Amino acid sequence: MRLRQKPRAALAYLALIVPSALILVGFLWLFITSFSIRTEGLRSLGWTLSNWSFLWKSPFGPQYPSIWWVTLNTLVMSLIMTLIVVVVSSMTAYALSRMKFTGRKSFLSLTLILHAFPSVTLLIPIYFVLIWVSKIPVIGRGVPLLGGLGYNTIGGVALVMVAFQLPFGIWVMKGFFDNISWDMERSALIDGASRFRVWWEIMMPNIKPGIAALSIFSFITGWNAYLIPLTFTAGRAGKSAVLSLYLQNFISESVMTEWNAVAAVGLFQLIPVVIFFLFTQQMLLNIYGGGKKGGV
Amino acid sequence: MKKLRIRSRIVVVALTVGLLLIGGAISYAQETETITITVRARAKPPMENWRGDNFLLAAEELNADLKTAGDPRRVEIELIQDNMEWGPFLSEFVLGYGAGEAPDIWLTGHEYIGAQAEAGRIIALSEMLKEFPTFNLIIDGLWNSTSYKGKIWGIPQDAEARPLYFNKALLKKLGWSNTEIAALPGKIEKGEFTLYDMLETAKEAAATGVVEIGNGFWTRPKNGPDFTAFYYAFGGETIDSFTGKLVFDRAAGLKYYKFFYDAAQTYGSMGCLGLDWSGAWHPGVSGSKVLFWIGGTWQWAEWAEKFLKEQGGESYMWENFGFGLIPAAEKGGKPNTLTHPMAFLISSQSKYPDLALALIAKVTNYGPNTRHAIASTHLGILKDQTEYKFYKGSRLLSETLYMLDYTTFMPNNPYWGPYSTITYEALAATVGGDFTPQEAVDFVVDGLQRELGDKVIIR
Amino acid sequence: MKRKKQSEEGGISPLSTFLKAKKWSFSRLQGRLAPYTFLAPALIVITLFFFIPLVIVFILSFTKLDITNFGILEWWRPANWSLDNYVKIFTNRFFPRILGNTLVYVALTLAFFNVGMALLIALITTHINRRVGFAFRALWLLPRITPVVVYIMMWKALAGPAPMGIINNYLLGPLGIGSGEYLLNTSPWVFVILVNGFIGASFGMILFSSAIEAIPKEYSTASKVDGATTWQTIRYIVLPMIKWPFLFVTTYQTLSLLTSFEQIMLLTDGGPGLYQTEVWALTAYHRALTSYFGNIQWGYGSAWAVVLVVIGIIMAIIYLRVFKFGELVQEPKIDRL
Repeated sequence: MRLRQKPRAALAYLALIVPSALILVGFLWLFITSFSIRTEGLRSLGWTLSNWSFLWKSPFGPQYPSIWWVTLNTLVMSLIMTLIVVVVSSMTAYALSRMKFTGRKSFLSLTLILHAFPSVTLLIPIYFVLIWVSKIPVIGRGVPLLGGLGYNTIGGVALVMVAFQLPFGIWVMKGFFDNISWDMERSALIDGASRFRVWWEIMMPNIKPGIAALSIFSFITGWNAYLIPLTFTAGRAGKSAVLSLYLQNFISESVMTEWNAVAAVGLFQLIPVVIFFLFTQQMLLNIYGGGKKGGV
Repeated sequence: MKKLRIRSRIVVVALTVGLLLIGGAISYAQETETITITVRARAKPPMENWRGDNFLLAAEELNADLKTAGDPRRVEIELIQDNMEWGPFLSEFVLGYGAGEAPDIWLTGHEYIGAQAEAGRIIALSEMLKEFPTFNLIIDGLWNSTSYKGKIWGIPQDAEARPLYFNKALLKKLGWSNTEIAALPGKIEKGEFTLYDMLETAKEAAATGVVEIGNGFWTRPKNGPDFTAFYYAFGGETIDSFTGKLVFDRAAGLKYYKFFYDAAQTYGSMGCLGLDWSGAWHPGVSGSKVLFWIGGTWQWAEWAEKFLKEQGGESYMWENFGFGLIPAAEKGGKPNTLTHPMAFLISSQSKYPDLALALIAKVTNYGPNTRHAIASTHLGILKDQTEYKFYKGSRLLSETLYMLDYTTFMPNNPYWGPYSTITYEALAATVGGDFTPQEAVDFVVDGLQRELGDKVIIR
Repeated sequence: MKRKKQSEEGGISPLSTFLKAKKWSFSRLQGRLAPYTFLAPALIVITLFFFIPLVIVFILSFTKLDITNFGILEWWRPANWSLDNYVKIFTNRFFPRILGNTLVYVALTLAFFNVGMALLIALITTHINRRVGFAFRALWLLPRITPVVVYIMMWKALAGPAPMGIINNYLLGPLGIGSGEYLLNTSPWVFVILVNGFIGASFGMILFSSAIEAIPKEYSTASKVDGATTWQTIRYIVLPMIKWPFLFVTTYQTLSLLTSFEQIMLLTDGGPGLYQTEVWALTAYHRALTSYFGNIQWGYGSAWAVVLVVIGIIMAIIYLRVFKFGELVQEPKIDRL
């Protein structure tokens, strides 16, 4: 028995280690390349720090915002988006997990099916919607900080990204609510607390791991977002650019692309997320609400 | 009654005085009225930054002019310049226009003029141009690229040439003497060295092992304007001058596809399609693995600084690489090249098109244009620019400017996109051996008719 | 509960009973509306950015909206609708190839990576030293959190021709396989699947490992005491316990893969041969949004998208049936008190 099992285990380990090594080598190359003039295989053909010079001086001239400004933009956008995703998904998931109402089942299957819609092809219709929203007074254009919720505003971009993140968020949060025993909630309700208060004061503190996990996922999605900010921020790419758009400035078919600088900027974009992940990995691992059934 | 009349007179007088006062106040305020002109450009920073940055200097000049002329307006530039891809850059303008937020000046590839003019998003400039003599400096042929349906819609901003490069060291290995090599560009220009002569040379190089099979002659690895130049070389036309519709010429198309079919199947060439630009294509041509290739003048600096720096950069390249026009199809025919000029367009949402055009006039001059040309290795667009002191400083730009006399353009037609995609698909299949030349032509005719219907004329 | 009891016991005075009953029915109405107040934000966002766009996309797919007539064509008028776009799609001679590519791509990537590899990593990393297991999972998360452009650049370096390419240089070269060609040209499909699979695996990996971690330790301890091998423990204890995440990952990732195109676009852009690695979503993107010359045909692109959505919905419905979705969403226990 034991003897027969060994090759199987060895094979499994091999199947894990070989592809893992491939990733490791790839990222090693990325790292080496960002400090090199050119590379051949994993060998640097000359070391340099110049690829990282974007950190202290804009490589594109004074007309361009500095990398730190862009980073701040990206941070603000990702945080706004994360906040909305968490609040909205947990509200929805709470209702789906704890309340009976007409259309509950269809709503659940719908959120899953929504995922079947390729975001890219909805871009033009979403543009029409954003234009309509723009025309609503105050909300459309006049919100401070966000600029509004319409076309060409940070708020609008964040909102669209929220929409694409919601199906996943709702399902994850529902799994967590499903696994909380309802005794606690019931006694609060009996004491006369409103459903809203119960959700906010009793349920939310109990699903902290779920909130953390979803926050991390949403934040990473926002941090790396490219297509949506690109499409819905006309001509503001220079000023309210996010990191992915900034990176695009280095790449071009028609003129020399500084691939080594691209590697450096890419790593710069990656590092905060990796650090973030190292601190939160335990929470991320809790994304599954547990239990045998009804999870996620 | 009388009293009333008097009173009403007083009211009228008071109103008039009031209005005059307000009017005066307004006109006083207008003396310092600042108008923001938005300029949207696509530029690879920092080399191409002058595309937009020139406007910042031009605004100062224009404001001084306005002051002298007693015009109460002053301009301020809002410059939006980045390096997104062409597709998003184009849809950004169209979507922004839909939201009422189009820029005043939009710098883009000339081939978009047809679509934008047709949709009414840009204004025709033919009449307004006459007020600015500086536009007469632009090389006459370039205006063809910005004309659509008999009007001029844009001002050329820069140009480039797409020469046929050849590797001198490899030609020497084939037994060519230095004089023969030096005479090659001249022979091409006179039509003595044709496309098939080139393929014969490529075949010999592949057969003798000077280059690997497939590396005799290369084009760019993906769809792009270069291929159209070959179609023109075989006598093809892309646009019907009478109706403005797209044209596909079967006879020329057959020769065009046969050329690439032969190149791949019998002449040891065209092993380039599908290659990655920086991973394989640039290393291939700059690493002396390819005998002939079509490239752009703007790539010269890339090879010098990126791929051949250790070998000595530009001086190594002058020794080893040469360039000429794209050869003629037949002996005595006319060689060509293709230019894809960028052009300034003015949005029909611009409230001050006159100021926008005045700004464009300021940047269309030897100083600003050469600044951009040198920094970005683009060709100048002005007459006698080779005589201009700073332009002279670049050997490559000076030695290739003559190519603009032989240049062709892509057509300004809104449906060029699908046309180009279909013709390229057939080309890729021909090179890959999936299509014979005749099958390629049939595929193109069928595809064009299906996708474009009566918007295309098949000859 | 309390209140209800009181009113049932009631009988203090007719008036107060009446008032209480009034209040009760109001709170009952409130109770009935409560779910919808909780759903409202999501409903608004989903309506604005999913349902309305969806209807528009469907309408657009019958129109000829493109870059030239945008803002001019009244696409909402039935007079401008026709089936032309769909005819064009189904008469396109590359249509079978693109469909085939899509199915192969989704099936292989899903089987080998998004589910297969994910399960393998989750099982191994939860059964070995915690720190090592964590290191492996962190490594596998990297592809997902790396900017796509940079990630693809890394793969191009791996696949590059000798002497630049890493695989050629250190693996195939020494083994004497191939002649150092650009591997993306010689075997594009292998890389399309690897590139997407390495990103996709992390999703299942996280869900699976957290589900495995959530299994009470007594279960596996008990089975070990009974003398079961690790394999048997996995087969009979672990796998049945993670049935739901397994089904969820399969469904969710099938749909994700169907609609994904960005990595393929940056890697091969459908090449190197004619439509060799072009998948449906990429075609929709090519037609609708971009190409070298701004080949922007929104109407035609929408038609491609609508067909894809139909395929996606059919698959989703099949999955929901097969996986007995009804059980998954059993009625909540707490609603009425």
